[in-house]
Amino acid sequence: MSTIESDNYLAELEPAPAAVESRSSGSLVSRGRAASFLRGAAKRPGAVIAGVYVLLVVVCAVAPSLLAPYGGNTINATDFLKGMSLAHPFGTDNLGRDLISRMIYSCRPSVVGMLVAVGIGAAGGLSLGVVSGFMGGRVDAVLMRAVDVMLAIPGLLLALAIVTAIGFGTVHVSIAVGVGIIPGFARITRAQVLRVRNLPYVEAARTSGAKLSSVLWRHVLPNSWQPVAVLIVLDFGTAILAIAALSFLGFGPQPPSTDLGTLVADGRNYLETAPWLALWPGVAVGLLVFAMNHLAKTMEEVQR
Amino acid sequence: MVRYIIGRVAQALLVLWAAFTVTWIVLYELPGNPVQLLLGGGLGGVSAASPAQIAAVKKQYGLDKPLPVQYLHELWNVLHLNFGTSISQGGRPVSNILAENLPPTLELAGLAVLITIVVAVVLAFVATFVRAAWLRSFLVRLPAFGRAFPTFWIGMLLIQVFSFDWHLLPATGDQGVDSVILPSITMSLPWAFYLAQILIRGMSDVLDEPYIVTARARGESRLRIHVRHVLPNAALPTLTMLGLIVCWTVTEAVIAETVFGRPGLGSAIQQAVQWQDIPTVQAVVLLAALLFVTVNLIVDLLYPLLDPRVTHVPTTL
Repeated sequence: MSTIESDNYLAELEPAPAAVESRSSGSLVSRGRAASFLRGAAKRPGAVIAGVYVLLVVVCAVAPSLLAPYGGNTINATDFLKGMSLAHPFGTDNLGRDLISRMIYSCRPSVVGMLVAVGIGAAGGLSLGVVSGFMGGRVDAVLMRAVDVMLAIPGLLLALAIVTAIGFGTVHVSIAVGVGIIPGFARITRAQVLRVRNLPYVEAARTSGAKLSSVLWRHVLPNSWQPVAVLIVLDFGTAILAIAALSFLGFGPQPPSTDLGTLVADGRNYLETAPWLALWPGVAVGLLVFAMNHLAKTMEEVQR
Repeated sequence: MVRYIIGRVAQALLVLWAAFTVTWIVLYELPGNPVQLLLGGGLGGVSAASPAQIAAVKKQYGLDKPLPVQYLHELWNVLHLNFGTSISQGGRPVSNILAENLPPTLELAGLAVLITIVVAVVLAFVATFVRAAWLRSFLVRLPAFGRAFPTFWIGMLLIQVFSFDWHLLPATGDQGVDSVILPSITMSLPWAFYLAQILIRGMSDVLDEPYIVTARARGESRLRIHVRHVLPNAALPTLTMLGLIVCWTVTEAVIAETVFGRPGLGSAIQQAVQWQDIPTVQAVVLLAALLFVTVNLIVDLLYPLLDPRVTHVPTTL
C-alpha cells in the first residue's frame, strides 16, 4: 500500500499543473521526512541496532556466500563437534560443518518463509478487512464470524492440518502459517476502515460521486495503513517463530537444506556433547523476533 | 440472564460446527487425493492399494458420494465420536488414541496453566511495585525479550541446565512427578510472559486511577494498595484471556511433548502429521477447539458473577 503508487495514480488523473505542484511539494515533504527520520533514529539507538540486525539477516538471505567463511554443507571430517574457536566462531557439527556458515546459509529459507507467510496473511487480511469494514451489514457480520471461527482454532494446529493436506517444505509451511495470520490482519484493517469510513473527506468523496473502488484506494487505504504496517512488522516476528516451530517438528525444509528451526532440531541430538549446536541458531531466531518486535513498537511510537 | 446464557451456548456450538467445517475443508477437500493419504501412501508416494481397498476406504469415509453428502457423512461420524481409524498407529480407532493420550496432556497443560498464571502475576506485581528504576525497567522489558525465543529452544536450554549440568530433573520420559516439571515450565513461559505484559500495562493504568490516590491519601500502605486495589482491578479483564491461554497451552504441548519425548496429544498429532494421518489430525484439532470453546464458555458464564456490569449490556451478546 505504498503512497508512491497512489501518487502516480493521482498524477495520471489530475491536470498537469496540479500534478507538477503536488510532485514538488511531495519531494519537499520527503526531504523533510528524511531529515526527521535521521533525527528520530539518533534518539532511538535500540531501533537502529534492531534495524541493522534485521538488515544483516536479509543480507545473509540474499547473498550468503558474501558473509559465510565456509560453505553451508562443506564437510570437514577431522574437525567434527569442535567447540568455539577462531577458525569456527560457533563451533562445528557432527560432520565437521562450520555452524556459523550453516546458520548464514539457513537464513534464506527462513526469510523467504517469513515473507510468504506475512504476504499471504497481509493480502488475505487486508482484503477481508477492507471489504468487511466498508460494506458493513450482512457481509461484515458473515466475514467477521468467519474470522472469529478461525481464531478459535489454535494457529499451530490449523497450520499442522494444512501441512497434512498440502505437504512439507518451506513454502508449504509458510502458506500454513500465513493462513493463520489472516484473521488478525482482517480485524485490525476492519477497525481502521471503520474509523476512516465516516470521516468527512470520505463522505465528501462518496457524495460527490466517486466510485467505490477509487474511494477505497485513494482515501480509505492511505489513511488506514499505518497500524496495519505495524502489524506487518510484528507478524514478521510471529511468522518466524511459527515457521521455526513447524521446522523443528520436522515439517519444514527437508535435508540437506535447512532453516534456522531445523538447525535447532538437529542440535537436539547433541545437547549433551555439543550444546552450542542448538544454542546459537536459537539465539539468532530469538534476536530476529525481538528486533522485529522492537521495530514494530518504535513504529507505533513514531506514529503517535 | 437466561438470554445471555442461551446466547453464549449457541455461539459456542456455532463455533464448534464451523471449526469442524474448516478442518473438513482443509483435510478432506484440500488434498488432491485424500484416498491416497487415507491408504497411507503419502502425498507423493505410490500406493500399492488394490481397487477393492480404494473402494473400501471411499465407502468408509463416504468419499464415493457427492460433496454435500460427504460433508454430512463426516459430520454425522464426528457427532458420534467416530473419527475413523488411524493411519500412523496401525489402523486403531482414533477415539482410542484420543482417550489414551488426553490424560497425560491434560496433566501437563493443567500444571502449565497454573505456572503461567503464577509467574505472570508475580512478575507483573514485582515489576509495578519495585521502586528501583533499573530493576523496574528490566522487569518491564523482560517479557518482551523472553517471548521472542522459540519454545522448543527454551525447553532445550532448560534440559541443558537442569538435567545435564545440575542433574536435578530428568531430560525425557514420563516417569513420576519430576518429569512433568520441565515440560510444563517450557510450555508456560511464552504465555506467562504474554500475560505479564498485559497485566503490567493494566496495573500501570490502574495506578493512575483517582481511587488509588484516594487510598494513598487515606494512609494505606503501598503494599496494601497493590494487593487490595491494583491487582484485582487489573486482573479481572485478563480473565477473559483464560480461554486463549488454555488453548495456547495445549498448542505448546505439541512442542513440549516433542522436545521432552513424552506421550500425549501433542506427540500424537506430531506423529500423525508426519504420516499425513488425516483422521487423527482432524480429531486432535477438533478436541483442541472443543477445549477452547468450553473454557471460553465457562469464563463467559462466570464473568457476570464477578463483574455485574456485564449483563447490563445485552447488545454485546
